[in-house]
Amino acid sequence: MFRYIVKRLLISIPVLLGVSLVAFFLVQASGDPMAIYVSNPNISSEDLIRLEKTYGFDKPKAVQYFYWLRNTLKGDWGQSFLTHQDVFTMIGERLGNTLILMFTSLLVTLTISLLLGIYTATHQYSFSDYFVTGFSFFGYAMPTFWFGLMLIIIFAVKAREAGLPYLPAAGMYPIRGDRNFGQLLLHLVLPVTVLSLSSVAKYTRYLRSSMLEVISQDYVRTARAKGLSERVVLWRHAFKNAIIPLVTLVMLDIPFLFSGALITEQVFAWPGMGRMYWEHANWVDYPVLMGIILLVSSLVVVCNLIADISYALIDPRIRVDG
Amino acid sequence: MTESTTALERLNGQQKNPPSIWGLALRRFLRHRAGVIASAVFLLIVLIVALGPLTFVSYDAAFRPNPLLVNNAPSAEHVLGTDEVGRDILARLIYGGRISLTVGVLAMVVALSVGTILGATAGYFGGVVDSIIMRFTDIMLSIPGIFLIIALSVFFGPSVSTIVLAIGLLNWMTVARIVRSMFLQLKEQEFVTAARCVGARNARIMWTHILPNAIAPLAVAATLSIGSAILTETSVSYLGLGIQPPLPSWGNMLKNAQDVIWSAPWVATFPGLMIFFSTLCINFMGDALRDALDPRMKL
Amino acid sequence: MSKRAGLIVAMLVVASLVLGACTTPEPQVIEKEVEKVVKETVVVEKEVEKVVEKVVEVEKAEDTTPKGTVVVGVWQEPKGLIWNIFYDAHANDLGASMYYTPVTTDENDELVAQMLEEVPTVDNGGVSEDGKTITLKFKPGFAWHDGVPVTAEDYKFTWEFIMDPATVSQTTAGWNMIESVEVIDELTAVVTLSESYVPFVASTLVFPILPKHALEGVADPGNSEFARAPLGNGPFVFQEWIPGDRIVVKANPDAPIPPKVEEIIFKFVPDMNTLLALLRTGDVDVAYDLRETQIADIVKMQNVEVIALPGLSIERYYFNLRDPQDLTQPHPIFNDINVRKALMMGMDRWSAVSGILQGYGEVAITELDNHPWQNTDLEPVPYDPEAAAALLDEAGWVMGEDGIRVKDGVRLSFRHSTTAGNQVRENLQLLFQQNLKDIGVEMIIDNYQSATFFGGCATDGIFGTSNFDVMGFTNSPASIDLAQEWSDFFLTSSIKDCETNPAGSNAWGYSNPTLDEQMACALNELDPEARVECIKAAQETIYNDYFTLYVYDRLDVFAVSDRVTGVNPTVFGGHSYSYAEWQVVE
Repeated sequence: MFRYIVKRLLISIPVLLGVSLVAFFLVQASGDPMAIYVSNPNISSEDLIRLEKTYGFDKPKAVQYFYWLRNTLKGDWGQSFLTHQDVFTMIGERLGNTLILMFTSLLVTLTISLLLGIYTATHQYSFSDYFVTGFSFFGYAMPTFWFGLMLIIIFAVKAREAGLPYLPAAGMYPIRGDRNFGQLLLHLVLPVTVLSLSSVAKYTRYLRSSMLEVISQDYVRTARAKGLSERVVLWRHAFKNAIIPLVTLVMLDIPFLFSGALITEQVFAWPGMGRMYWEHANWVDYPVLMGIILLVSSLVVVCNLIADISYALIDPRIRVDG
Repeated sequence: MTESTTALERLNGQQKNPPSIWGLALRRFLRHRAGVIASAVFLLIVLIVALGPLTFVSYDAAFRPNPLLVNNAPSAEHVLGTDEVGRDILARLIYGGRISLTVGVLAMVVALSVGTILGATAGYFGGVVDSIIMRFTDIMLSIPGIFLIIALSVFFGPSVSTIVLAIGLLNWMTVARIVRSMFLQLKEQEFVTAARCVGARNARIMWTHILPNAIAPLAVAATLSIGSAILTETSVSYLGLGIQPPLPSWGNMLKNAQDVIWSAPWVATFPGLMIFFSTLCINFMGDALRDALDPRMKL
Repeated sequence: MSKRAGLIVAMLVVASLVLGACTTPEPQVIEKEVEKVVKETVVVEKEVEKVVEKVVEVEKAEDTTPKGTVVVGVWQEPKGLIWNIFYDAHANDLGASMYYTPVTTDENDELVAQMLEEVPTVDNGGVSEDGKTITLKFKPGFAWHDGVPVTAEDYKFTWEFIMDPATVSQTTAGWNMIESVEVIDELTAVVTLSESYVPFVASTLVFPILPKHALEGVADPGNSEFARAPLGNGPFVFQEWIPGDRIVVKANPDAPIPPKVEEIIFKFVPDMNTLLALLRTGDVDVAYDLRETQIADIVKMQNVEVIALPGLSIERYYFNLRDPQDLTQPHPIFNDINVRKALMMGMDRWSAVSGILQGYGEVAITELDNHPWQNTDLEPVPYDPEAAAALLDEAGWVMGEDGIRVKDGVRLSFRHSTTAGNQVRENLQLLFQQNLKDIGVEMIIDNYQSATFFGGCATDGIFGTSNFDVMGFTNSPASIDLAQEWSDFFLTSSIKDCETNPAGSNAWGYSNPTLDEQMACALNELDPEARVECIKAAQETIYNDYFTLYVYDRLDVFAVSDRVTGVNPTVFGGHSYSYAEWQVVE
């Protein structure tokens, strides 16, 4: 096992290199970083030439990649072409906000999925099964930006106008007023609703199947035969075993918690990394984009490794070698 | 003697037509009532969308701009109202449905093909091959889909085929994982060893022996990915990278309506509902399919 | 004067005031406070005793303590707060709250002096006869927010800072004409230009000057603390910048022109619909740079007023006069001026404005619509499909079997390109596509991402490689005065060519020697009247060459909540010239 881990970690180096290469050229292919200056009618031709030279855009792409790689390996993630800030600083400024949003959503998703998964597994084919399942699909089937906007209109605008208790429409903290934990929680309600409801379907389905499989196992029948109450059977035996594979699923999702939910952050004006990503992607600000991609890909490698190991531990039929 | 023979005959007689695997599956499918209703609704949508433009919906209604009829509320003449360029929304929903559903199905085919080939190869051969393919999957997973879509749009121009390719290439990784794990499990089974003993070649073992056993999870994944593709197309349209005018799709109709949400809400409501209901139906269908084929599937 | 004497004088002054008020309520005595006390005096006309009390109070107490908070909704966050390095409209608008400028525009869109004693002109001797020497006389009383007074040294430093390659300014236009700056004394600077440049005053003096003592010697200023927390000298002082969320500024108690509002919060909301929701709930008071298509939504809000001004931004379509496949050859379809004219006449811009834009916009005529120098003799190109069809017939384009005209085996089919994802542009394209189809012309919609659309030669950008038939986007003649970069779109010397002239902006290959002369005159003619003549003549030349279709004038759309007054947006000043006048009324 130890050798396996070391081998995987060693292999991850060329993988990350591969990611950076593919990502760099994909990003470059998506447009011209000079375009933002060209589209600005107040910048003259001479200024355009000067800017191009300063940022090194006139050099061949391979050369630009080489400079980027060399600096990154030295620990210098570069500066944004748009804001001139260090990429590291920029990511640091936004990372916390994204993590707050994403981890809260994950928590809510898991809680809801657990309840729904168990319920639907034990009430298979009943009407409430369909209803609850349908509910789990609800968030998934709604386009995110539309769902978010509807929630804002109903709970932030209309509720307020009707004199009912209302929720804040956007942002992380109130515009006027104190920035405290209570306000943060209030501001989290709507974006977390959108995010968690859209993932609930996936986890619920997984848990339902896991539960169904476990319930039909022999040891559960034994427990029932022994006369244990249904509740004990469910929770102590079935549930615990059904949950273990869930870990791998969560592991695989974690890297994407860091890139944030782009559209949700846009709609709710949440100052996170997803939004920053999109704003800089539009104008091909590749140091920032490469920094975020590198962060996410390192996490993908690590989390995949953990997921594969735990998968092997669960099902010894799967040999992890090579 | 005769009695037991008669009993045996009686037993055999009853089992003259033993139910096949597919028959059992169908019965289990039909037991899932929501799935059945959803399938019927979805079929209805597909029929309307496919036959509409050939019969009761005119091309002009869906494509001809009419500045005098911009953002009109639903009326007798335009049952669902008109959009921001004066076109009939119902007509556009039908034409748009063709594109959205086609994109969904074709993207699924792309994802399924690529994912199956790579996943099967990785799972069956194991070792270095598995490593390389899985690491390649990791690379593709790390790169945000946005870039893939933008880059492809720039190379090939933002057309329907580009969107199909882009969405397909975003989703093959999950398929590959599923197929790989199936192959990892199944290649240890006795029937595979048996086939090898007989001298069957690898490719044959993979495609004729193992793969059919993986049909169940693949079928479910395929169904669900259609829904996922429709939603991805919607998100892509929100960011301005989707199907280009004058072609309608439910996603770009929803996005185009964003400007008039407050003053003309019907322009957004109907495409939104179509997306919602089709995805809902597809998900119920996928659920029913899974319960029918193998309820223990962890998809 | 000794302290005691001063005290006696003060008491005498107060006494005389009191006496003066006692006898007759003479407005002259309290002349200074008239604006502030006017309400009281009129109301209290009869009760003389009360007036007396009020007079004394106003002298000491500040009735004008800045009160209240105004929230401005901004959909694009600035990249940094040093204006020459991070040069975009939103950053400039925001930064204007923290900086006074040598000259500015007022509520009538006139150029007025703010930090200078007067606007330098040839008449008042501020500008020399040959246009090469400009004398700047600063008013005393302006200080940086850390207390250091603003001097002419700061102006000279600003010039050096902008021109320093290490600063990486985005724009040096106008400043690059300066040959030298001589600081005569604390408040006077003499600027010498390398050649006469008439737009100098209006194009450079409307921008802030930067503090020498804070920025001199700073390495990589774009990445410095100053860029995230600037030191200004204006009506508001920088408080904090929470990335992705907001920038907060507070009233400057020592400002020579004191503000009436205590705090302004610039909140970043990237989604337009969310911004509208916030306007509706009252969380946001002021929003600007909104789209015309949203006006209908805002009009429905009870507590918000919409102000839509016909601005200087004009949506236009440029016809490529060169063959995109081979730039040395003329365009196979557009090289005939009658074809271009016919196409322009075949697009119904009036329906576009009344139908698709719901009336929010105006059909455009020239490059300088709504500008004081617009050539008002010119009429918009009419919408006349019959005349257009006739022109095409005469030009030899015969209707083909598929409904598209053909001539010499070439179909009258062209690509129309603009930025992808822009709702209004796409809608207009759809309408015009239909209009043109009706007269036998095929228009193919071919849009691109902004970064590709405006891309340069190195990345095969559409603009850079002139790879288009018709290209549409919004442009404007910069601001109050025309500037060099504006003429770059028309001059023969600016024709874009990836080999020889990659930075030229004339991507459509337009060349007209008469226009070149008129443009030169427009930028350099010293006699103001002759200059305006040239500018108007230039518009007519462009008009008669039918190579740009001016589609519609875009409106500058502002939304202001009823609880805020004093915004009064204008064409040149936008909403940001009046920060000091904003007031919260509740």
